[in-house]
Amino acid sequence: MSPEEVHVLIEEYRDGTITPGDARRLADAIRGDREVAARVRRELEFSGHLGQAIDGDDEAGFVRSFAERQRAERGGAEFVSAFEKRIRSTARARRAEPVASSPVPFLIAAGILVSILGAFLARGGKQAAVIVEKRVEEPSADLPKEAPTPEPVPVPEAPPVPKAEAPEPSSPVPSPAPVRTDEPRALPSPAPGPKPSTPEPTRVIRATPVATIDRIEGDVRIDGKPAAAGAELTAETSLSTGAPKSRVSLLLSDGTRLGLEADTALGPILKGPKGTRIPLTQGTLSADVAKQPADQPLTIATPHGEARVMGTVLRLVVDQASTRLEVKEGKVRLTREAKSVDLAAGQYATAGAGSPLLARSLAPDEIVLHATQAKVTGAEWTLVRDPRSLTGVVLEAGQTPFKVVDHVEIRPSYATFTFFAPADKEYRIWLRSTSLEKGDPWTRDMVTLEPTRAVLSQKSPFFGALPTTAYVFTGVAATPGYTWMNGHGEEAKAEAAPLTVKFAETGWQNLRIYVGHPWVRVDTIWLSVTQKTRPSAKQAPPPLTEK
Amino acid sequence: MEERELIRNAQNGDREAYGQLVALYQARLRAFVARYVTRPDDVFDIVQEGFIDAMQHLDRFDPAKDFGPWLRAICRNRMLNHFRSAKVRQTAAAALVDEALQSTWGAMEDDLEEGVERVAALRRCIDKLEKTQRELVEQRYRQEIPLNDLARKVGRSAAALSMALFRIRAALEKCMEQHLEHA
Repeated sequence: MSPEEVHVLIEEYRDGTITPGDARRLADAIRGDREVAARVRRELEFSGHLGQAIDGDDEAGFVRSFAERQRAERGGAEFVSAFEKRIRSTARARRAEPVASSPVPFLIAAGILVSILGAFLARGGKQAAVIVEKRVEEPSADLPKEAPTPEPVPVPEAPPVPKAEAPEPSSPVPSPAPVRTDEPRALPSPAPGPKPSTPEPTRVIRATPVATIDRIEGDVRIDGKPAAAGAELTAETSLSTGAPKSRVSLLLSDGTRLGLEADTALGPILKGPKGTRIPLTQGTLSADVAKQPADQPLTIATPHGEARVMGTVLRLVVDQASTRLEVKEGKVRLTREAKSVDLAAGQYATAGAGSPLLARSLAPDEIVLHATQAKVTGAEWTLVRDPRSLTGVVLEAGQTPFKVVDHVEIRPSYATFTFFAPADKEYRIWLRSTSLEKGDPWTRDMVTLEPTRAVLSQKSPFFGALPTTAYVFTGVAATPGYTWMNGHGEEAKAEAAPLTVKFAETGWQNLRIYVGHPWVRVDTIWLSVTQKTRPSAKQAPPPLTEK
Repeated sequence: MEERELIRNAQNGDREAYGQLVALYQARLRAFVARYVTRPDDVFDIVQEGFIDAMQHLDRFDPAKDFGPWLRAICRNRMLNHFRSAKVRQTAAAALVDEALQSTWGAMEDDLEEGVERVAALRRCIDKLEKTQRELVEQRYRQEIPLNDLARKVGRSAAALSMALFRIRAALEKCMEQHLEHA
């Protein structure tokens, strides 16, 4: 690959117009040819330094901007804090408010009574104000259609000094096919992706306005146009927030308060005789929902189902494949197609193709992650059959160009386990693994685990002062066959202080594993509150898995 | 005030001292980040976020050690998060190149001074460019105008413009190396 060709491809890569074919060719060349890799690196470094050189070293401007940003960050934190306080105080106030002479409180009280009755009849769940959070991940970009590769460009001689500019080539050269527009990234629109289930074909009363913007921060739009605090939403308008650090607080006409985080898209809010319907196609939504009349629930429609809210504290998490409903207080019914499940406090369920609608615990004492649950990224881990493992399938580590001390952040290949865990529990990390390597035990016994958004009880000695939660497990090869390991130095000490993890927030957690040495096989990772000493080699964790 | 004193004062909550540390290190960190991230606005953001992270964890820093490598490690993490973010991966094709590039990065422990010197040398070389060349470089590498759009704007074919930029860059690189040698 010539320097000119590298330059052309890198410019296309920077513009996002590189074709999949060229991208693969360039990526292969970077990986397979050190000279090309060095040239590409040089080309990009030079572009970066060029940008800096033109930008100028405006030291005072940078420091001033930094100070402003600090203020903005503090303002942002204050915004969130104020919002959360208001939610709590509103909820408290609502619980304490006596019934007044207005018909609205009467309806609310009636709703509360019916809800309490319903909850007691069904499961005895607790009644409270509602907080709803919903996250819909952005769809990942698909490979664009292969565009024709432009013909080679004639290359005249380079001038010796930076004065002359290249003459126009005499022959016409086709311009690279896809022309990128320089428009800013579009705000999420409520339209794309799987549509939330449509409202029932009943007569809808389109009351206007249905909501008012209470507070605003960053890029917030009503029907694509910039919105301002005090603006009103009607039953025909959509709301969206940009990224990052954009958010908006909304007050609905019935007292329900909604908070939209960045990259969130809300369709028109409809109030009708069958209740309130909020279609949410993307992003994160928090809500403090006023008590709803028993026959007029507040429904949050997602692409995969809907949650009918009567009076609970709950959270909804939606991704491309499924909707998960987590109930913190009270009782909620999750419906998908003809099936439904009632969830009590401390439970969650997943609605989506292939997911049974089952109530599971939100705060399990045992989290068991089998190799079959791992999502493999890159080529270093492979799923292989092994009858000695607990499920018959293990992750096998292949060769890696990285050293065990390399920061995991720079490593492109790993396996990820995703599971639900609460923030208030401390789990011991047990790893069931073995090594097939027969050579020097010091080069065959390592695997690195990295729970994200978490705090470990010990810092891995392999990473010095680096701010990381990656931890190198050693001693995998100390015992023949599969063994449970916990942390560093297991081969030397019968029972070192067990490594534990506490997650920063209750919710869906990720744990990644990275290859330390090849031919290590990982069977199961067991996060346990109750298993305080190393399990015996043949001990299996309780049959409770989180998907 | 000496750097160590600034650090100690900043650790005791002196925001002005921290501001002086920001001023002292911003150019070095921007040059470091710019080796991996080409968009100047992204570089600016990453370094600013790095300084915010550093400020929040300043109590963990041992003043007996060098401040630069600690800041560099923080900015490196910020940078890696930036690359992990789906937002910077405009297309799946670009992500292929991202991943291949990241496999070449190694420990990312570049000499902070070297980057500053390169940027300073480049600045002097850019000053020597003709006005039209300087404008082209600025539009492409500062304003980040896509090549095809810029070609339309200046009334040239994208291929011709790409080649013109290639030549200007080659000349600038040569000029920069000469400056660095003399320095």
